[in-house]
Formats: sequence, C-alpha cells, structure tokens
Amino acid sequence: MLSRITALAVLAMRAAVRSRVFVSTMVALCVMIVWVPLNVRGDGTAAGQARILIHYTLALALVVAGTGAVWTSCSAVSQEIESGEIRLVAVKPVRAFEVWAGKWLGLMALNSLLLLLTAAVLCVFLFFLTRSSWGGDGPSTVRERVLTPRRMYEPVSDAVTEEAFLDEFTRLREEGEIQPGVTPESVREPIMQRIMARRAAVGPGESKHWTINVPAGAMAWAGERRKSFIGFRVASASWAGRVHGEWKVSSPAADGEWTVPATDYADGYHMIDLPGSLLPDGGAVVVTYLNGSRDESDAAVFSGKPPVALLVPSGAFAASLARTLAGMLSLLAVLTALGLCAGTIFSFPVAAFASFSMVLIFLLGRYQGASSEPLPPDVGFMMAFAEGVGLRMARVVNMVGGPVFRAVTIAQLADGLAVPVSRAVLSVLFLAGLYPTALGAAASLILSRRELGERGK
Amino acid sequence: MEPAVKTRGLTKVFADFWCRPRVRAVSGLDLDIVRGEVFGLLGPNGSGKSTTIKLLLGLLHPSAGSVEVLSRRPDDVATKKLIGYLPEESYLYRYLTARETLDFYGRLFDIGARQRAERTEQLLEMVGLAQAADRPVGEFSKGMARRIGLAQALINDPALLVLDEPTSGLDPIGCRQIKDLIVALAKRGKTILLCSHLLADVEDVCDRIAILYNGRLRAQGRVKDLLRESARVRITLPSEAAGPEEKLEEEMRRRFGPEVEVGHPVIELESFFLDVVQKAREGHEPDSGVGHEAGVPEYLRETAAGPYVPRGGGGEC
Repeated sequence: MLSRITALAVLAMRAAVRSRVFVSTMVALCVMIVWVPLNVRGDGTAAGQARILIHYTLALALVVAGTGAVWTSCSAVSQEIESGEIRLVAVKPVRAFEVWAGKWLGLMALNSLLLLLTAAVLCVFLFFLTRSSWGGDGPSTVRERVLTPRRMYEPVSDAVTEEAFLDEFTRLREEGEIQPGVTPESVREPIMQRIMARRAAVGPGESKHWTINVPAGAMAWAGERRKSFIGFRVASASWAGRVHGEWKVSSPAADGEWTVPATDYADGYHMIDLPGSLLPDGGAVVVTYLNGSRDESDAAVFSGKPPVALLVPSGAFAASLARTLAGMLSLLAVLTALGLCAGTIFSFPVAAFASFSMVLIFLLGRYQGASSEPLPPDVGFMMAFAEGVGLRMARVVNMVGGPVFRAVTIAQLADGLAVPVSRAVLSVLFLAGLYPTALGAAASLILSRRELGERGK
Repeated sequence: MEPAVKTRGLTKVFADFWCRPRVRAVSGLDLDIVRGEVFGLLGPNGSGKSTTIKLLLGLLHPSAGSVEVLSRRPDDVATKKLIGYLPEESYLYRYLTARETLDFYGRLFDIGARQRAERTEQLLEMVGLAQAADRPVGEFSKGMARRIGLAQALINDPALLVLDEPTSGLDPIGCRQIKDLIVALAKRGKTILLCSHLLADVEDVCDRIAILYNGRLRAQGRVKDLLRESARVRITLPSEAAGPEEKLEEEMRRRFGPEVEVGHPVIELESFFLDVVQKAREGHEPDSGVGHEAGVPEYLRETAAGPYVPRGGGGEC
C-alpha cells in the first residue's frame, strides 16, 4: 500500500509542478518574500522592522500558498477525471483512499517546500537585520524584543460577577438611565461593557493593581541576557495622546520590588524591562500602575486583552518559528484536503468556486458569530427564524473553523511571543489529522462510487 | 470450468442530470467468456462494446443485471490485480517518460523494484520503444502511445487482458506484432477480451466472438463455426498438378455443374506488406521512433503455475 501511495504522491507532485498555477504561486511567493522586506518600512526601529518582516512575509506566504493549494488541489483529481487519466489508475488494484492520500501527500510535500523556502528567506533577512546598524536601537533590540520568544502570563481574571452586573443595573435604573420594564437580560451586553470600561480606566492620582501568578519552572529560560518584561497597551482618555505614570512590580515570594520612575507613555503598546532576580520561579507578582497626571480628565485606559501581561523568556525563536510553520502547514493541509474533496465531486471550475466559497463562508461566519446581537422582540416571525438559522449556522462554522483560526500564530511570533507546543500540536492534530481524514473519507467514498468511465461526468 | 467473465442480464442505462433515462447502451447482455480463450467483441459504433468493457472493469456500474470477472465483483481490488487493460484512447500521463510510465503502473501493482525494472526493460523491448524509453509520452505518435499503453497493460502479467481497439493507430507491423502477442498469450492460458472494428484482426486471433448491435447481443459463437459456409467446398492443388486453368475449369464444370470457380488463391495484403518490409530491413538501418520489436518478454512466456495465480509482483499484491 505504501508503494502505491508513494507512487501516487510523486505523480501528484510532478503534475502540480508542471501546472501553471504552481509556477505562478512560486513566482508570486518569491516576489512577495523578497520584495516585501526590501520595500516595507516600519516605525523606523530595527525591532519594528523585524516585526513587520516576520508578520508580512509569513502572512503573505500563507495567503499565496493557501490560494495556490486550493487551486492546485481542485485540479489534481477533477482534471484527471475529465481527461480520463484516472481510468488507468482506477482499473489497477488501488483503493480510492490510496488515490486520495497519494494526491494529498504529494501536494503537502510541495506546500512544505514552499513554507521552508519562505522560512529560509525570512531567516536570511532576520540574520542581516541583527547584524545591521538599523535605526537607533540596533540589532540587540531585535534579538531581545523580537527574536527572544516570551511566554505571556495574564493577570488573575477580573471578570464581572453577576452581583456586580445586577448592582450596576439597579443603579442605572434608579438614576433613570434605564426605563422601567426593561429586563436585565436585554441590556446585559452594554452594561457589561460599561463596567469593563470603567475598570480599564485609571484616573489621575489613582492606582490599579494586577496580580499575575507565575507557575514553577516558568523562569527556566530567563537570565541576564534574556530579560522578562511587563507589557501593556495604554491610551489616554484625553486629547493629549500620552499618559504619565509610575510602575511598581513586587514579588512577595521573592521579597523584591522594582519601581519604574514616573514616565510619559504615548498611546500604544509598551514593554518595561524587569531585572531577572526580581521574579520568583513560582508565585505571585503584583503589578501596580499609579497615574501621575494632575489633569482631571487625563485617565489612563488599559483596554488591551489582557490589559497587562508578564512576558517571560520561553524557548528559542527557531522553535517558535517551527511551531508557527507547523500551524501554517496544518492550515494548508486542510485547504488542500478541501480542494481535493471538491475536485472529487465537481468539475474543476465548480470545485474551485465551491472551495473558495467555503473559505469565504468560514471567514465571514467568524465575524457573523462574533458580532451578532439578539434582535428586538418585535421583529416578525420570518425575520426571527432567518436570524436564528443564520446564528446557528455561524456557530457551527465557528466551531468547525475555530481550530483553523487558532492555527495561525504569525502575529504572536512577530510580537515576540512564544508559540506554545500545545497549540502547534492541536493544529497538527485537528487540521493536518482530523479534518483531512474526514474530508478524505468523504472524498474516497464518493470516488469509489463515482462512475469514472464517463469522462467529465 | 468457471468462466473468466460472466454477465447475466447486464444492462446499462445512462441518465441525464435529472436521472431521467437517456440512452440504453447495453441491454440484457448474457456473456460467458471461457478461461484461456481469445474472445472478440464486435459491433458498429455505438453498439455498446466500450460500455460493456467499462462495466467489466468496474469503471461503470450496471443499471441492472450482474457481472462477475474472474469469479469476483469487477470493482474488487483482488480482481483488478489480475487484469490488464488497454483503453481505446491513451489515458497515459503525458509528462511521464515511457520508462517512468511502466514503472509507475508497476508500482501500483506493488511489484518489487528489481522485478519492475526488469519487466520495464523487457516490455520496452517488446513494443519496440527501447530507443524512446526516456521520451515523454506526450511527445509520442498515436502508434507509439498505443504500444506503451499495451506495455502497461502487461506489466502485472495479467490473467485477463482487456484490449479495446488494440491495433488502432498502429502500422501493419505493429498490428501483426499485437496479433502475434495475443496468440502467444493465449497459448499461455491467458484470457483475452478483444474489442475491435477491424474484422480481419478479430478473425485472425479470436476463438469466439460476440456481435453487439444497439446494446443487444446479436450473434455469439466460435469464429470458424460462424464463418463456415457449409454449402460450399474449396479444393486447393499445386499448379503443376492442376494443369492449364481453363482446361481444369471446363473439366470440373462438366462434373459438378456451372457454379465451379477455378483461380489462384491470393495472399493477404498484410502478409505481402510484411514480406516487403522485412526484405527492406535486411539491407537498411531501422528508422527513428519505433525500433525493432523483441519477442514476448520472458516473464510472459513462462508456463502458468495455476490458471489465475499470476507470477511475480502481480500475485504479491
């Protein structure tokens, strides 16, 4: 069986390499991964350039390779059926799933090659970036901020309790902001958002604490050259565009405290260096922000998710890059499987249309599921029914597509965050294992039932 | 003995998109092809020959009736291990060379690398494509594509060989070679199903034939029985013994009546053509493209160990 699958895989590779789509994909990819780093300018710093380089190169490679994968896989089976070539294979002792697996493996080998090429070019550019005197921060910042992956530890959950929600609801009703007769459920979402917004703001002269639990063994990769950071996204509530404040990080377990003097922070994302000896290898860390502004309207808003995070070195960049590539390859695996499945059922143009439509539905379904709000009770039955069906479909699409979106960790890698092994493993299991197996089983069943003697039927 | 191919009431109706019956290509076909015989399937265009073959190979599913090939269902993998198929058109991968083509199909039968290489070389020699072994099949002429198609049909040493228009596109030498090969394979106990428009080809090699028309079986039997004119007798004599032609004819008419015909027998055009080419070749180099064909490969000439247990890789699948 392996011999047959290998033979079919090699054949699929050779057929794909000869196709114009693959050649176009290769050319587009080469142009993208070379042109983009040379022409895109970031914020003027070497670290910013490295982030953009990683993000754009990998994201464009994923889009180009993904489009090529769907297109090539759609034609792999459908055009063989249309040309009749598959007949000579079908009369040989080859099972339908072997045909499918051979094609999938062959195309996946090509996808791997494309991603490896991208990764190689990216590494070459990053290598030169860490050895150039870019901007004012230099190569060491690139190594420290981007090429040292860090694991993110979030503060203890600050979720809004039911009690806090009801208190707020009662207060708003007493103040007349909520009309009598309005139920708590109908205004839950805006009230929750209001509470969260209030919690995110730190007024002038006020301070806010976040407690972050650091698990044992988390500091294994930390050291003098591999620093930990406090990362936060802040915005000013006034027109100033800057906030003024002091940070204090203390660790009761390590009996240490670190204070960052009052500084101006522009709206955006910031990272504060922490001394390696401050953080305990297991235990709580308390992070405090004191708003030093005197202007009453100058509140600092920590709206990030999470608002503040402890970033601890974890693993090597190469490992995180490999996991990101594994996630990307897993995504290509499911796209290839989708294209092959569609190509088994439909002719090439229909298969390509169906596959790209599916991808679009998943992309849109994600936003539909995330943004839909309940309809007011006075809409008609048909409208409510259609909305209900749409929402349920969006939920199904989100459930199925969830692992697909979680597989893409390019942004984390570019932001200097470690890509966890578990995430890469889950991506591989779901997207390169479970989903292609399900699609392959369906396609094999159809292929074995299909009358291949009729050309292009 | 269990027939190699057995169909009962085999019917194939092609339907349109809405599943409405469109064409009845094969209708109630009862066919028995005995193991070890060369069976010819004849009929005009659209008579259902190719559809019947596709049904026997599992490429189409019957609308009604039953099919058994080598005592199994045609879409059974175990059945496919024992079948070689030369389709009417070349469905070969155009970008593979002749050698790669044979190697690829050999791998689908799980034939070991060494045996595959040996068979590939032998088959390339047999079909006269050794010189063109490393050229892509897409560059081949129709005749050359036919030859490589035949070679791939034999890579697994099949027990049942299905040949759809095997001599189509071949020159007379190629036609002769195919017919010789069919005869040689038949002597080895292989079952051959031959589908052709060229009645002379069928007549030369087939033991039995069936004639289809409009999807129905119109005639079936041994070629000799079907073609024999029982009401007439032919006598051949050496010219010297017969004497002058006019005198012999007069003598015979006087004895047997006015319907007697006397004349010289003529050889077939194919034999005459081959004779001329053979004489020309004795003094010249072969032309480009198809070279000299070798005989039947060694592995196809071996005596069968059992009626339907293929040797080598074909049986090891």
